[in-house]
Amino acid sequence: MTLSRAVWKLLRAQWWIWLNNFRRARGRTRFAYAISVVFLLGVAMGGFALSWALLSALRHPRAPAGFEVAGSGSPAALIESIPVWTLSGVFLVTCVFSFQVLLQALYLSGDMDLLLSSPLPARAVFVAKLLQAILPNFVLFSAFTLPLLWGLGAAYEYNALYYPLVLLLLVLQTLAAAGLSALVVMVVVRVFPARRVFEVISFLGAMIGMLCVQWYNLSYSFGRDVDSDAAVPALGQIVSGLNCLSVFWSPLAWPGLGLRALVRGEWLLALAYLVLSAGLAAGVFVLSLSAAERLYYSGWFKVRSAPGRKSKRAAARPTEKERVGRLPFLPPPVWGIVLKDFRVLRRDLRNLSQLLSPIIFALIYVVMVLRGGRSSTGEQAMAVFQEYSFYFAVLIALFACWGLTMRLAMMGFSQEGRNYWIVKSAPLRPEQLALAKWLVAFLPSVAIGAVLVAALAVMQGVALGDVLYGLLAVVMIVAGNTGLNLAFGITGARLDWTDPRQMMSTQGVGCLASLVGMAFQGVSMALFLGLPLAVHLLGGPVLIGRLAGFITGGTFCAGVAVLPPLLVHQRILLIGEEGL
Amino acid sequence: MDEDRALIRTVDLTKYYGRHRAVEGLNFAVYGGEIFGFLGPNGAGKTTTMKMIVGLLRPTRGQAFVAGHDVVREPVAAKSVIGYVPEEPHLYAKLSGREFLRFVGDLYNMPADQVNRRADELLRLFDLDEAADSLIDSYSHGMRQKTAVAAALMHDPRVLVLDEPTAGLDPRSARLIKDILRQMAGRGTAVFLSTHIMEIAERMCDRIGIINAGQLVAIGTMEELRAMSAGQASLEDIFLSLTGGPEYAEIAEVLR
Ligand SMILES: Nc1ncnc2c1ncn2[C@@H]1O[C@H](COP(=O)(O)OP(=O)(O)OP(=O)(O)O)[C@@H](O)[C@H]1O
Ligand SMILES: [Mg+2]
Repeated sequence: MTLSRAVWKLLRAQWWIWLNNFRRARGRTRFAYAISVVFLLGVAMGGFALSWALLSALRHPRAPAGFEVAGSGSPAALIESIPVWTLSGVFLVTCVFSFQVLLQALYLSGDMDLLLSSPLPARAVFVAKLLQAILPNFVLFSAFTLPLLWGLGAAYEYNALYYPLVLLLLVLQTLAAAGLSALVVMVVVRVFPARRVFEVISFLGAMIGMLCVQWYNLSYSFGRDVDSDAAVPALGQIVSGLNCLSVFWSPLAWPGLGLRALVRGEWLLALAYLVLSAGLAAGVFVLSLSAAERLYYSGWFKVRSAPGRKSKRAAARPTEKERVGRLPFLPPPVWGIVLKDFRVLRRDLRNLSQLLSPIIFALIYVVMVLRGGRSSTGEQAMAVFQEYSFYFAVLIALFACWGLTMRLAMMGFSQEGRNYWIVKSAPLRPEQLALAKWLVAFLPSVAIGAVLVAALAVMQGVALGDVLYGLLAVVMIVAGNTGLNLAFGITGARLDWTDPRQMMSTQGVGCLASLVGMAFQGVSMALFLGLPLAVHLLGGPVLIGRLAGFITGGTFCAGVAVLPPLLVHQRILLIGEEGL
Repeated sequence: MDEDRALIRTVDLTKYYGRHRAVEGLNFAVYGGEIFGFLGPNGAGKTTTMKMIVGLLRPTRGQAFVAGHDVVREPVAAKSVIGYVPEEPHLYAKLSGREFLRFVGDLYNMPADQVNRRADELLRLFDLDEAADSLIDSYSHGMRQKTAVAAALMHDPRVLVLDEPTAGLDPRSARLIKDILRQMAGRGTAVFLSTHIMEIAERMCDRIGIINAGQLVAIGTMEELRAMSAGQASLEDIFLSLTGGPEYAEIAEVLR
């Protein structure tokens, strides 16, 4: 069998699997597919129109003024280098993004054993896996880069050859990047167990993603003292940095430089660059593929973490004392599940990233509040802020806890995954199971909330009465939130996930939970904090206001903490047999 | 045998997956002190039956009683006497073997000091004490299987339900499990196990049930089965004649 036929067969099989899944999918899922296809097409077309219009406008004689400020030399040069940095960007981003995808496709998807033991050429298996892994990313990146580059061509009326060449180069860059990425994956897996690498990568990915999202807040908080005019030189720096990419000795820039030469009409140079870059990309792809094949087998046995390596502490500790004592007022099964969940959550980095995000989020907001408190301008605003800063801090601590509570309570049951049979076949009442999962979510959240409130109180010098009232509010509101999210987690639980991100049966449940959670937080805060504030503003005594807030808010929160899980607790014993 | 001693009893036990019939109208009993072997071709419904008995699946129709308790209506009472080993040993990958056994002990409400002692005993018995403190993540399939069996024995159950307990085990571990099951039965435990190994069924089991396409086609001791399918001497032949296998002509055709 030839290589291409074997690859074709493998890809066809994959297509069948996808098609089967699609056919069996519910109407809503199909609708979502259709919507995302339309959305992607819309983005592509919109991107094309936008880049065409914008770049055409830049051709206008008056336009260059803005670029002069940026201090980057002539605008024409900048625009001509758009292909250079787009194509280099695609290469780098594909390299990074393919790593995790390939790691999973090559080492952690169960079918490699089967495929490699079949009489297909091993190279075909690799190529098919590679294509399959990078195709989604390729489609996604193309939806953004192609419109940009084609729009550029349309705006500047480039040579007709430009359009197909852009596509070809994009494909080649992606392939070369994926090949390199595969090579890196195999080198890494030679040294570290694949599963551990995957966990670490997921962890880092999630943390970096979260930091990027928070970047704006951070820079806002830390960079407020910086003169805003600094933005212009910064832009200039970015532009000149990008221009650095387009030097002739960097292979990354060759495809882009070839395109530039093409549109300038320097045919010979264009041909040289394009042949060079296409050849290089193809060479890199083939070379890394053959090297990767050879490396593959030596990394294969490292899929699992090395056996026999014990956690040093566990080995050193005398086994009898290792045990954490049981709490007298909790049944042993409940306490056992709580302990077990804490251990499992802590040891799986994929979970840890999801847990750490809200905590970091919380810390960022604390920093912001503290800085905001100091740099507030205006004496009166300062005074008002001083007076109510503690309430404000409680609000922020609560919002910070919310993410953690939601993650822990919603995923409490899904977390069990294929191991759910262990607790399901144990002699537990569903209420006990619900209580255990409730505690798993409540305890860490309330601990963090309490620490935040206490820390803020110390830093702002708040009176003891205020602190106690704030703590009370945090405890009750977190409890209510836990109950609410736990109920959603029970109704939406799903056990057949492999990636923690697929833990809920539908995205809809998570969405609804956020909305309801938001409403609950609003109401409970209005009762707990708004009521005393209102009484205070009306001139009533503090104690009365607080009493009113505590009685109404406390009752409301306690109800929400207990009732929703009780309503759905009979479903607990049915988790995992939906539709069976 | 008198009905009172039945530790597992099913009444018209039936399960449909959607419209697909997996198990239909099962009526049988397993008594204390006996090993009951459950045989049947792949996809016959053995795992489905066992999952209904241990309370992992809700029957479409009919009931399962364990130690006199209806599994659906009094799940806690029924489950507290069962030890269950599933077909595939999915265990918490991020716990060590020792931690897992202790966790199971807690789940079954065992006294704290007994949990520790029992976990250590079982780990030693199954030759897992070397690996006891490394994560289950790093265990081989057989080690996981042994851990699952150990977990099922933690609370000294009166009813043992084991779905192919010796699958993937080395001869020594398989022998160990057979010996343990014999002793448990000798002490009055009801052992209900499914297997594809005829030798185990023939030599170990006091009684045998054969299920085919979701229905019980034969039940009884070896002698009764022999008498039923007149002339067939070995359990393998009885099994094949009851469940129907490919004719020799077909085999010849495929291997042509
Ligand atoms: N989750 C499920 N959804 C739909 N059908 C199922 C499911 N699980 C099992 N079945 C079907 O139920 C029937 C019985 O399956 P079961 O797993 O009980 O067989 P088994 O006797 O244990 O087989 P084996 O010897 O291979 O373990 C099969 O026809 C199978 O296709
Ligand atoms: Mg089975």
